[in-house]
Amino acid sequence: MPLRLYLLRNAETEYCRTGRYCSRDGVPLTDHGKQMAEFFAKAYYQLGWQALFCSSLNHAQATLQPLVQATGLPFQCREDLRELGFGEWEGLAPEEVNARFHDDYIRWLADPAWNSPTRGEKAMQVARRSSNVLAEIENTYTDGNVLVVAHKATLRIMLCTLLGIDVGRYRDRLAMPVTALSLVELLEYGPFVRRFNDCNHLPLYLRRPWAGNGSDS
Amino acid sequence: MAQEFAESYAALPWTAAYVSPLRRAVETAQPLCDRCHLQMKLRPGLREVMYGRWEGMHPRAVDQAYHDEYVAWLTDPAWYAPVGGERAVDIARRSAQVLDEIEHTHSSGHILVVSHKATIRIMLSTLLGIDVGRYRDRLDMPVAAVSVVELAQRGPLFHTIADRSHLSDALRSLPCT
Repeated sequence: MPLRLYLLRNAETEYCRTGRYCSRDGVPLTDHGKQMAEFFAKAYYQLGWQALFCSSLNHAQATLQPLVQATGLPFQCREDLRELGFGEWEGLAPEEVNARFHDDYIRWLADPAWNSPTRGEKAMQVARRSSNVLAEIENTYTDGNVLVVAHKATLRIMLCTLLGIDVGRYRDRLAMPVTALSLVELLEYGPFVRRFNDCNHLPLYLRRPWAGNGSDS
Repeated sequence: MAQEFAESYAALPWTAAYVSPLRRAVETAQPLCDRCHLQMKLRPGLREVMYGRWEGMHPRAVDQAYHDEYVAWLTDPAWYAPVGGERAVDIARRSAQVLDEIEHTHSSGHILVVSHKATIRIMLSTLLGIDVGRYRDRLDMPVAAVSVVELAQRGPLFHTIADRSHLSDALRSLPCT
């Protein structure tokens, strides 16, 4: 059995629901978010986990909590899996950012790899810190199922580095609904994507359209 | 699998279906096209890689009979062809013409593209901006898997890769390469 990385995005928060930037700590899940976390645990608690890694942010840990409870497994918290820091855009919606930080916003949209949100983080910085965790996992485990719970920007940046996609394209090439799960096997010739954005652990009413359910609403 | 795909996806308002002319692609598309009254547009650009003299051979037999060529192809299938067959860059070019046609013909809507394991992975690599030579090592594509790519304002936005949730457990758990 190869080393299998399961990448899980955090469940819904009020910020995701309303489309605002969030990288701060202490944000709770919504009621739907809590249900998503429960459904994930229900679908995956019997998988046979080698290790669980989790971002230090509260909404990542709350997403993992039901699985931890169901399995009794410990989890390892890593600062390096935090969400990309949005700096002065924290808590704002894109339209507000566009009005108040117009030029920074345009630069960020065009190339978020090397342009940061105002006083926030560049995707390149997130690529480097999240790579520390990937290296740690590869150096610690040779096989088995390893879960990584992190966030929308962080996980898409990690997938870009794994797939060999320009990090600056992470926002434009990859969608990632809340609680989406992607499976990447670390094989002899590199990372092999088995599934991207699997949401089948969620009932239809908790899935976004396009999350592989054939719906169009 | 083709039936179950049709059952799950018949509710989508399909605009068009572009299908490889190979029989297995046509048979895969048939149930959905029948239900949705879609006329298949057959496009040779969507055919599977031509494996030349390796056609129908098991990888182990290829490794024995064409060892050096096989190792070179495994290492970089973008620029090394199976003996007498096609390079991934050739497939990237012919399939890109179909993508081009789709973009020029339809400005919106749901477009079904039915093609094959290598061809689809090569198309996805070009859309993602991954070196075409990495298609075999980076992406899995089991039979009847669906990937959803939205051609958005800033380029191809991937929603899912290799989703098989439309299949029953019995069909999904069958071994396949």
